[in-house]
Amino acid sequence: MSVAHRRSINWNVGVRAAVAVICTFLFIAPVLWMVTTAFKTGNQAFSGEIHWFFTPTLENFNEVLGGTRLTYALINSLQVSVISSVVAILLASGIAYPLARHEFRGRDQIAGTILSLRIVPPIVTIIPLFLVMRTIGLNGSLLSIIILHVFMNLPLAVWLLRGFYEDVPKEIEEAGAIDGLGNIGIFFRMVLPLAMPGVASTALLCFVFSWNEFLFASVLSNAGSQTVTVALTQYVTPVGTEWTLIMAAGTVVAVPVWLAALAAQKYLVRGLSLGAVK
Amino acid sequence: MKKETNMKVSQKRTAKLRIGALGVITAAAVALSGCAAGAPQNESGKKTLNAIFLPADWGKVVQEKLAPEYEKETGVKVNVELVGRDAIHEKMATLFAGQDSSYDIFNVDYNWIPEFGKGGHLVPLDNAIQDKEDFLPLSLKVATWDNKLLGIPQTVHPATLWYNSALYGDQSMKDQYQAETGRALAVPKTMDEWLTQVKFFNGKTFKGQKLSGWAAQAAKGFGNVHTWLSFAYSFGCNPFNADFTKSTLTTPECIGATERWSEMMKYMPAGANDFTYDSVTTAAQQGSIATAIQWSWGQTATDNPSASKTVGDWQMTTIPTGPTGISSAHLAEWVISVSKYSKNTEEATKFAVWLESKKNDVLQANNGGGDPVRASSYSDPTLTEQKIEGNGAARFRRLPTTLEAMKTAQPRPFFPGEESWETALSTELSAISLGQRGVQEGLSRANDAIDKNLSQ
Amino acid sequence: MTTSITESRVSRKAARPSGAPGGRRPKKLGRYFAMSPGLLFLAALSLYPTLYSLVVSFTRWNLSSGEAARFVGVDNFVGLLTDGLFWNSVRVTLVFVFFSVLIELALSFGLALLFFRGFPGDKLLRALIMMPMLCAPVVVGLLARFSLEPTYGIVNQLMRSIGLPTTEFLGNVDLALPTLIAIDVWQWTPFLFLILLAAMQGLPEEVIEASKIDGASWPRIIWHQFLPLLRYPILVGVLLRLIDSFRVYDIVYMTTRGGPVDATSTMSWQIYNVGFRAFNISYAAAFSWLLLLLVLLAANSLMRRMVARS
Repeated sequence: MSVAHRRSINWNVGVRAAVAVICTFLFIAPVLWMVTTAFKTGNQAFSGEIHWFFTPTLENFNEVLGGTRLTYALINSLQVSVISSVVAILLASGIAYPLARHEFRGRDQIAGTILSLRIVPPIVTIIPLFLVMRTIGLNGSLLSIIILHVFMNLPLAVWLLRGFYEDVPKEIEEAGAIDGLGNIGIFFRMVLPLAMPGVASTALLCFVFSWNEFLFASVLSNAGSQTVTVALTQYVTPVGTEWTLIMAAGTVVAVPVWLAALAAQKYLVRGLSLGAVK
Repeated sequence: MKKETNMKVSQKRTAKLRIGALGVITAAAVALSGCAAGAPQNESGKKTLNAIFLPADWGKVVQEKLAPEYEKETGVKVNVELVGRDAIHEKMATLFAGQDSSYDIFNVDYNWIPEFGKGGHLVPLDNAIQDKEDFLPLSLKVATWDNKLLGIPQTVHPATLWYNSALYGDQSMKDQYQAETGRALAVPKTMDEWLTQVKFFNGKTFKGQKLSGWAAQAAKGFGNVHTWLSFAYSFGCNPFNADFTKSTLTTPECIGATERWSEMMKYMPAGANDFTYDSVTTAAQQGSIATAIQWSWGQTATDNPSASKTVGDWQMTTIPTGPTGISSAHLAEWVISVSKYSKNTEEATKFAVWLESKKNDVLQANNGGGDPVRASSYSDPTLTEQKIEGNGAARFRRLPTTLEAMKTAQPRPFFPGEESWETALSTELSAISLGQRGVQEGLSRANDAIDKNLSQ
Repeated sequence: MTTSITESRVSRKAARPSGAPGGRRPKKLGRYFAMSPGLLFLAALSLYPTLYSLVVSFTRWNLSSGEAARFVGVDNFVGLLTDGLFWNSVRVTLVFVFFSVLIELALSFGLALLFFRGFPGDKLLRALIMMPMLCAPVVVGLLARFSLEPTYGIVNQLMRSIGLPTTEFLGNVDLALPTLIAIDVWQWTPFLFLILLAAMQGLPEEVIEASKIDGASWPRIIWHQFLPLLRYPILVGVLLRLIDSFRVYDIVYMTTRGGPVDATSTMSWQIYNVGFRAFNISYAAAFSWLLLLLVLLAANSLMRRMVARS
């Protein structure tokens, strides 16, 4: 590679990085504002002029986290989102992998029907679903919310995973079969690692959708199984005035998801097909 | 060759993956054990009630103070869950449809009493209260459907006219007003006086803040309807015929009220068409409005020194009178109801009654939980003699006005279809205040939409 | 719907000829074995609600009235088709969906191209850029209301500081819908970005290597090599966004409540209003069947067009 060429690449990298920084800023600016407002007093937040520098206060966070309710809800939500995403990924892989790999009758009908399940607005299905949960005695439990979140995320997971599994080279399976691995072994030991960027993205999305879901969680939870979005409505009410509290609560609710994204980040890296060449 | 490399890397990645999976499982396990320790548990042999309250101050005081106290006194544990207004409505409907017994007690906006009363989902409480005569009559009336008391009033908030007393007491403002209008600046008694003052204050500067004439809830959804109702009632407008079978929004009274309301909208701050309760409160706290129509109880927020620049300044009076001398405010009120599907209706009723004992009615008000529902509380020295710390203004200076307003206030149309009525009217009011439609056109469109809903 | 999916499959296979699937018997059994838990789960939870809402849509039933449902034939559907609010909501929804998905796709494709070749610090930025998507819609709605507030909101404060007039973004009939689109774009561009980036990273190395050489051929490589190979992820991403934006109501709920007037009254918002404010469950059920129909139509025609173009 010539020196001149390398320089031009570097210059390009610089431009791309600069553009990316600007874009990123546009996306996170409102979030930053939310977080800084959470550290302000009411008078600082509503002065009508911008305070770039202010003395931060932890009062809002103390108040939001002081009561045990939001803390319970965080733990509940963590369970619901982690378990429902893991289950959704497992069940969806079971469907998506054969869909990606094999030609068979009714394949496209299955895929199409699954996707159309996501179209029905939850408002319409919530009442029959509630009745089902009640009949089997699960209403008010975390398990009922987990089940519905798996149900909600499955179509998305199937469709995304199908694409990611398709991108895994077929030769890998043959190599696995030669090594004497069974179907399950091939999937977990060879295919899944290769499809990891996609699987991780899908899992992250499931986690996020579950964490942020409101309607199912609201109707099915009780005092012991409130999730964060339901607990958040404590601060969101027609008679609520405390924006700084709301912003603090919003920040507290968002932080676990940000952490999850950071953790998944490691797995969102390039797939093996590239790694192998380098 | 390449396959071999592939294999090696794949093995490495598999190892990594296992670590990752282990991490996930550990996290899940930690989460599970955390919950086991954290979730509220029912101790065996103890009676437990489940209640949903609004996450307003009156719900918080029940959750944080009264429920624990009740448990100490009686041994009955009450789990209080706080959820937003719409979520309560949704939850009640779903639970009732399934005749579900998970919750015993609900905090109910009184305008749902007719629909849930008609459905027969609430327990009549007539025999539960021994001293009905101490409750404000209107507060009981709007908790009653089909001659059955279906909720115990918890807090009332009639709309009142707020004015910034610092502004009204300012000598230079007084002089300017005298010079401009030839009259002395005094708290407005009639809608016309108020309009003159709103026009006068709008655009003036006071204590470094540019003023708007007034503010009130005006957002589409419910806010604009609630404010409009205080105008409508004071102008003698009645939105329905006597048995709620026909919308009567195009009467001269209703048109007059709407014209005035629409004219007044011009003197609200920027963004007024989005104004909700909190926008009005913020404007009041910052001192950027001269007057407001707002729930009585909101005064608490303007007296909070950490969020307000106008501590002790806001005073209130009843809604100015319309052309025929009527002053009638829109009433907001929350009641406590017991679910018919509860397995502990008796215990639940006892708790609901206890929450509104004389002592607790005062205690709730004292903790910021809205205005009391018992007449006796309005003369309770705990409230009337209390001063704002470091200011000297009476903390409950609004109570006489609230009591006065409660004599003439009127509820939202008290019939089962109120929520859809509000939705239909709200859309047209929004169109009128934005200048999309004339007053008459908007009202007659609302009339048609409402009649169509009624016929369904 | 099914036909277009078949088309996309066919063209995809043509684009990437690979080894025929092994058709041995045990494998076949295995595949049904693998699929059954997921399919049974979906069937268990969807059959009853679907039938339920279909039946309810032919009745008159108000949830809170305490009266039993009564069969009324197609009354609800006729009522809807002659309801001005219904047609308004169809128009608002189509505008919202079309513009938000289109802008999201364009932005996220650009962003993914920017990121996938890597640069120092890209991982950090990639994590940060996902933040909007990770916020609960309730929080996003509140944040939007708070930021766009004319007097204290940061947006208007910044606009005033550079001499622009105070603007009522959510209270103005002409601006409210574009503002909601902007909010949706802000929140969900990262979603498509994530999918496209993951897909680009799975591209064959020849394509990636080729794209690393800077020069005039860049657009051609994108057009002729990237787009065909990325057709499936784009299709899925757009489809999911399409479906989700048809259903959007949280943001409307938190910001405009369908207003001003009915400028932002989307179908989902109307369904919410009818179903949960008025508890007119039967009308809401009929409404959602029409929404379902519209989404299927839109999804179908979109997929056809995308397949045909490439």
